Amino acid sequence: MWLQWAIVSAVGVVSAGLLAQRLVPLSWRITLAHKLNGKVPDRLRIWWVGRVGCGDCAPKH
Amino acid sequence: MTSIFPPARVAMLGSPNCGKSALFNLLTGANQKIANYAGVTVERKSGFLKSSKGMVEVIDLPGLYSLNPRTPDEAITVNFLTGQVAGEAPPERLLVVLDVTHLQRQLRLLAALASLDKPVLVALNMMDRANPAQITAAKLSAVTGFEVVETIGVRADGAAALQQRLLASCDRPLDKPASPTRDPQALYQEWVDALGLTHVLAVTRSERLDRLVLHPLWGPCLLAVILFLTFQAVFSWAQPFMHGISAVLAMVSDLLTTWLPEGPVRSLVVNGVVAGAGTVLLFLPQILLLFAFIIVLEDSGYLPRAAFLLDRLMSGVGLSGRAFIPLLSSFACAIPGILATRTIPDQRDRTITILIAPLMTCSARLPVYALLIGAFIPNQTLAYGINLQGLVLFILYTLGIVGAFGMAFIFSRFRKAQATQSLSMELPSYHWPVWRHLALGLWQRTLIFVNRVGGTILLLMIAVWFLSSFPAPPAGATQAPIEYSFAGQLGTWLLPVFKPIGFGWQIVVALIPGLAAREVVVGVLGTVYALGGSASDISVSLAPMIASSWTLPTALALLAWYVYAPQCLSTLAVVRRETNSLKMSLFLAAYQFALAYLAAWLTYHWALRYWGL
Repeated sequence: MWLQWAIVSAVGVVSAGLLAQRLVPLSWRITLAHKLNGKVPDRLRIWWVGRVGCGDCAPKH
Repeated sequence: MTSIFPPARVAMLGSPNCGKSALFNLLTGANQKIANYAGVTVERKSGFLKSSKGMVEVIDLPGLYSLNPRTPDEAITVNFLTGQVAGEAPPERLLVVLDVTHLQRQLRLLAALASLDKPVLVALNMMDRANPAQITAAKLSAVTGFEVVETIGVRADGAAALQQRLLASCDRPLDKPASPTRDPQALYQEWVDALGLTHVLAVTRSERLDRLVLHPLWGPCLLAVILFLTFQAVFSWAQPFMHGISAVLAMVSDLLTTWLPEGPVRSLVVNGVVAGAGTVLLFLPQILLLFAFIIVLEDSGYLPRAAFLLDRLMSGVGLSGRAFIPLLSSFACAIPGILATRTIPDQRDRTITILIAPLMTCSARLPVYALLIGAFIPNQTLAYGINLQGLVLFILYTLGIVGAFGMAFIFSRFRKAQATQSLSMELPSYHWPVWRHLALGLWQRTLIFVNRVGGTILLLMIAVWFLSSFPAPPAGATQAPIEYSFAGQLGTWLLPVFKPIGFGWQIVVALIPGLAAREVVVGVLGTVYALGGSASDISVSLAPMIASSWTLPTALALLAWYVYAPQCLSTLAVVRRETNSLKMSLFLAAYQFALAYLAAWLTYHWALRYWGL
């Protein structure tokens, strides 16, 4: 049963992230990405913003 | 092989409905929307042609009649041509598309473009309908001095010669105008005289048909009959396909129930994914049938005639005749409809059209209508073979249109028109629908729908499953576990707001994620009832389940709610972008909520009086 709970939890976390990335407006996503600059991996921030550049961040996303 | 040099940029220009986007698709392999009426392209799109010699970027632009823009979409084209777009250079070459059946009028644009002093290639389009004795590419080239290529945008190989010439333009430059400083009007007159185009090329079959289609009495009757038959067919013809999908879903549900051990994974897959997202998939045949009719009507050239028929009615409620195409596009989705308002030159008319476009019944509402009609309206035949379910669907669509026109009338009282805006639209020739366009259009709609179901809707259904499954019921609980979950508690908390219109907590729970995508309502109801019940086959028999749980007044109130319900968040975001006003988005959401609540309340209490609980 623990395996089932592990699978369901993983699906829940990934789905929540994907859903938030789709539903949160771009300007809010960029604001959050700026705040998380240096605190989380850049690839995660690039995915979160959706590869639309703001021109200020390094690396450019 | 690609070149290290930047691609040569070719701007594709022409009057509205001359076939630019069809040629663009043929040239670049893109799948842009095309239709047989003006104003389909309202944004610039680009695609690439590649060869060993180099690369050419083809830029499809909104149609225009002259270099003096009158509408926002024409301004996009003129600003781009004249280098007024910040950070973007103007195009080096022009590809001017001319519709041979309207050549006399369209030469005016070519004469104006000659003044830009850029290399020009002319595509003489729709040559399948030209009279070779009157006009050929060679004749037009000899008169205008530009290189001319013949094209047929509706044939798969209709742009092969144009493609070769564009690629060759990397090595062999295109001709520039011989005398760019000449007065465009004088140049135009000289061309028309030389070509003998003293009258528009006759399209007699279209004119004969228009005597019936545009007749003041028979025209509107024909329009009503066509719309009525469309909705009848949507319900009747889709049934076998829906039964097929339903049987597949039932089989998948049974197999998963057998294979997966009992526990949270089985519940998530069977009750969340299959009962939720799978139930939404069930309505794909109806959506495709509706779009098949719309594509055939727009490809045949009938829809702009419908705009003319409705022009008097629309001007009566304070709308511009140009609002017809945006409103029509909104039957697919309000977002392209709102973007299409860029063809409306008057800001006041445009704002009113944006505010009422979401009242047109978008395809995302169809699954909700179909579920409720299937559950509560008997599948019986009335007089003259009229199907009752199809009739109710027709009435719901009509209510949306009536509501939109009513709101337009009210808004126009508050915002007076500065000048009367008359409708001026080029009527295209009739032609048989091109089956490739139909197949491509339906394929695109299928992809859009399946992507929605497999993307946002699936994710929302997983979220709803979590909210409906946790926390677990306390020890000794007497009600269904879902009533103790977050979703159940939220539904119960909001219930006082919606109880006066007859909604139960299950419906309230479904309305919230429905703000992200309307068809999710069907999926949420599937999950909520699957989790609330004991049998897994609920996932594919939602309609009988709600038929036994809800009263008829509740079902009718929910239908009325969805005729006017507040739009999905994406639409509100597009309204904000197009109007540059957050207030306008909030106003749209607020007035639609009030309208939906009022309609549901009136319907519920009217139905209670007639049918009781």
